[in-house]
Amino acid sequence: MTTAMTLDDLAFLLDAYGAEPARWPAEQRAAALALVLASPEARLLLEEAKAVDRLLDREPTPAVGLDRVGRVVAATLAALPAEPRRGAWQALLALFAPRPGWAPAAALAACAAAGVLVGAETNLATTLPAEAGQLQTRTADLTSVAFAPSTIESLFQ
Amino acid sequence: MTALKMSMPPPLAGGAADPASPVAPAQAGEPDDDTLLARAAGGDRRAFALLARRHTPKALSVAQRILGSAAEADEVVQEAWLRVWNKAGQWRPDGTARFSTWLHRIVVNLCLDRRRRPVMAGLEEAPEEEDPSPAAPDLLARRQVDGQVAGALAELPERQRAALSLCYYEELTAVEAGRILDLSVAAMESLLARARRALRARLAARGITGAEEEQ
Repeated sequence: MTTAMTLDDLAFLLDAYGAEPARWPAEQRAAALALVLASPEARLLLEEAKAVDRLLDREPTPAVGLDRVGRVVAATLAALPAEPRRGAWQALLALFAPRPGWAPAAALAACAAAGVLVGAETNLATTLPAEAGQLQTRTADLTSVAFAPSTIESLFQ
Repeated sequence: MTALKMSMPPPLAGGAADPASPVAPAQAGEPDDDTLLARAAGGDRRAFALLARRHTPKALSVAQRILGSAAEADEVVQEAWLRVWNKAGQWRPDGTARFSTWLHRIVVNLCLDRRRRPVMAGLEEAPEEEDPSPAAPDLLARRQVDGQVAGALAELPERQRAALSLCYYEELTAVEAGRILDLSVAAMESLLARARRALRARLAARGITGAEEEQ
């Protein structure tokens, strides 16, 4: 069973799809053809749509020969990146690989660590004024202080 | 520049057997599009070349209809293929969405981007001079009408021109063209109707209706 179509419906159908019934949506085709058979106004609309189709058909078809396709494909292939594409596992590894932006940060961290070690090994007595001699400062070996037996024992008291 | 829509098209209602496919199907014995694209995603240039040769004719035709320039169409299609190469790994075939829809969406969007920019036509795109020979008055008249039609088409808004290119000239369904232009079927039909009405009005204003050619 087909749904009845109005002239307005047909006018929209023809404006959207043109005059060739094969281009019309299948579910509307029968109703549209029935209206064209039954209505002189509908046939006039169809003739107007055919005229627009004829104008559109004047536009030349683009020349897309094998030579042109070959040129475009060859140019595309030539423009592809030179390096081989990475597989999925390589892409995963790349996520954890050092990146250029990490290098300065790593250098800064190394310098900071070196500075701490140098400072820890420095003899503080050499940096104190002689007037402070009563303090009986011994070599301020922070590492030995930190790991002295008394210090370790205090951790368990 | 408008961002390129690279999202995957929604599933096709008719499945892979849609008769309005924008490209010819793979030849017997050749891998299908999804297989070739998967190989291309892994770096297989030979598979990529086969895929490109399969789809480039239709892509060129669509681009040239929209742009009105063969040289620009060539550039756009090359650029589209480079984007396909770079994004091939993102394609997830599900048996319904088609690669060709994705490719044509890229091509059409690149064309629309170009149409929004001022274009300097090259010398090779300049219209040919008309033959002044008095022996060809009919030919002259036909060329003049052809030129008017081409001019009226070129003056259409770019999306209307793209709609006509896809549906009228390339004979895609409104469903398929709507996926490429990211429109519903109803919106696609409305766009097509506006395009034909606008073309008819522009040509009628120049005294051209098409009725005079009726055989």
